[in-house]
Amino acid sequence: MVNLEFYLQHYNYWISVLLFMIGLYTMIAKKNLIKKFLGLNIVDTSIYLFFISMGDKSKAIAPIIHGEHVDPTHYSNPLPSVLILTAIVVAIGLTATALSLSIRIYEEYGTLNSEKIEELW
Amino acid sequence: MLLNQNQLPILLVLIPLFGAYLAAISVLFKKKINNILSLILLSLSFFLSLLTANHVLTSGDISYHTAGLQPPFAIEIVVDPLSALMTIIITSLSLLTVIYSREFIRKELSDKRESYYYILVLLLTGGLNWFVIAGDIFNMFVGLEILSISSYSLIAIAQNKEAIASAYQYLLMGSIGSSFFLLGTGYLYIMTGTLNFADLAIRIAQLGLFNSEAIFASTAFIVTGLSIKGAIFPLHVWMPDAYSKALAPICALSSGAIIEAAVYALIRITLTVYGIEFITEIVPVKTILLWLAGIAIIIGSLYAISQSNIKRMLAYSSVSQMGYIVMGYGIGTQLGLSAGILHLFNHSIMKACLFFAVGAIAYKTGKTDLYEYEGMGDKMPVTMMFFSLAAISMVGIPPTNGFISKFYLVWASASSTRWIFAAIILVSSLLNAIYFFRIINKAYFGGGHEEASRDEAPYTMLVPIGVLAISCVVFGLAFNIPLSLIEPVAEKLMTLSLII
Amino acid sequence: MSEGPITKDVLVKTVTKILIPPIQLFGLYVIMHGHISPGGGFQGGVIIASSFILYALVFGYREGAHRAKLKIRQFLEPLGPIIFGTIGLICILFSGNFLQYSAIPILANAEIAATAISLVEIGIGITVTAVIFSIFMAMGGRKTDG
Repeated sequence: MVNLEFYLQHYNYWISVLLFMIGLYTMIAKKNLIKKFLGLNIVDTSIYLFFISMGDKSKAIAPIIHGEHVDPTHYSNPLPSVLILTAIVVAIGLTATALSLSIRIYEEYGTLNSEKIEELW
Repeated sequence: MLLNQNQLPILLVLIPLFGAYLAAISVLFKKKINNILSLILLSLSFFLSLLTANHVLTSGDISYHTAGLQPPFAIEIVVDPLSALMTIIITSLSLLTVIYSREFIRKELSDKRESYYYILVLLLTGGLNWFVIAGDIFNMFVGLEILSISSYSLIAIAQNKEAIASAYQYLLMGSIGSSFFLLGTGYLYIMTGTLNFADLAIRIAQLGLFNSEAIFASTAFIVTGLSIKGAIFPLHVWMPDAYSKALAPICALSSGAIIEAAVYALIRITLTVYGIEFITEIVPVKTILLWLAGIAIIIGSLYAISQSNIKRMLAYSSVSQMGYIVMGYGIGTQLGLSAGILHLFNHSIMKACLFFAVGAIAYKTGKTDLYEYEGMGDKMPVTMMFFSLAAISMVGIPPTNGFISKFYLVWASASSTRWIFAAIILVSSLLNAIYFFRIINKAYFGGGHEEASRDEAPYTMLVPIGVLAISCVVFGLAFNIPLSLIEPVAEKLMTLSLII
Repeated sequence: MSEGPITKDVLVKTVTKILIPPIQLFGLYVIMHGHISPGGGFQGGVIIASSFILYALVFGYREGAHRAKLKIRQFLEPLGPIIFGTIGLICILFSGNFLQYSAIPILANAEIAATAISLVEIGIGITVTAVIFSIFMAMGGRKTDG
């Protein structure tokens, strides 16, 4: 029997999977190069969501020591957030590279449609 | 001594990365300084990588922790003989690339782009070094992204329309690979709560996660992601387009170091984190990769035969050569793994030499097509001689290094009674012979002697080609030097068993 | 982007002029409190860069390029990693590990070691500000720059 409650409790992962699929579909189905890249950004966002939601829990506080002692179980896990911050910085570099490349592609080919670019190759 | 020997690994990463930013600042004050600056920095890194290898061989693996904490809490950098070998490959190839680029880039790119080119090469070297010596999976991801972004930019830097479009294609595919890798990291982290390689292996075993679906998914994502980066068949489709349009030194560096590093990471992660039993019995990664490699070797060679653009031909040849490396890993014995990694080392020498030589010919004559190579043996005799040497090595004729690693591969597949793969290697050697001897035949016996006048490439280009071509022969005779770095690790990886 | 001001609306210009100092101040706050509260060099740098972008959007590309000149940006872009790397290298010279602040004699005290983290954060903030604004200017000013 399918344990429905178990699946409903982890709805954050379902959202992440859904976003991942939407992003992949966009990358494959869309012809416009910028839309393809936006699909990639959606894929990345779904992964960020996956990481962030696995590190968080309800009513948790930021893990910063402010003098008085707090029970460590009240802290949310900081490591996924740190990792995702790094991944976001990396994604910004990637986005800048991709957008500048697409500007150059538009200047050279006069279009951003991937099929037309293949014809003009 | 000012610097402790244990500081060597961080310097391997820090010098190229830090140097890239130094180069970015110094070019504002003095134009055209970047060539010299990157030459100095990369020579230093090369020297340090040799020192590291020596240190690792004499006094054992180096484990380096930043910020004075202990792993798994600190960022750990682990250098064992195999990663030392990888850093030697990376730093030596990028050093030769910078020497080679001096004349080549001056002709191909404007002054402004020339300075960007050297900054990107330094970033790429730093990212590669970081990628191969990282001791945890997330740092490996960061190194992977640094090297990927700089390699996308380096392919696009040629600024012709095909190069930009193929760089965009590479970017889309490569970043999907990185995303898959990150997602696989996430699955590993959610199940174990750690990212450090050694710690991951221990926790997976302790928590009995070998039947967990999340771990299966992480294997699938990580292997797929790295296969895209490593151009393992059938995920190689970005490579021929990107390489046929990029500048020759970049092709040499990518084909010689980037895809190799990705395959190295695949070997390292699957064998240290998951362990040999897991990837053989529970998730048959090795068997799948073995058969894919067998197909890749034949298909890659057949595609290579059908190309007339030489750079494109070499790119398809890389697909088949990556097949050899993965086949060695997929055979699944210690001998097979050492043979595969030995071929990885040899392939980076041979393929870089071939790309350099083709680039030198294009630099002097502008010819990139197979049918235009007539009389090239008289026109550029030294370059063609080195090209032929590397091509012979590619085919696998003794006493070159290509022969040694192919011999090891045949031996490994025969000793595990997988005769079909031994046969595939022999058939593909014949196919290699067809497409390489076709060029040599055209160049030396294809006519066109009367119009040929000697017009040799400049010395800064001949020296890297010559060094690599001669090392093809040197490592064909002294093959125990790379093997001494490979075998201890192959033994360790194969006997590492954590399933209880 | 057009070269001149996009808008001639007095309201937008005045509100922008009023908003920019608090935005930058908030960015500096986020950078400086990075080691004791959520925040840090990257987040603060993006906030400061957004104030520059707002200025360039309202007052036009040329005015924005005049306020933050290309030469200065090109100098500031690699400066952050150099500060970061230098602090790390100083730790190595004092025979500690990379970024092991306690190896530096004057930073043996944990309170003072926090200052070193702030230095790193400031460096990152400088770089991120310059890089984000440069990305915006490079793409927006493509037609005018040629």
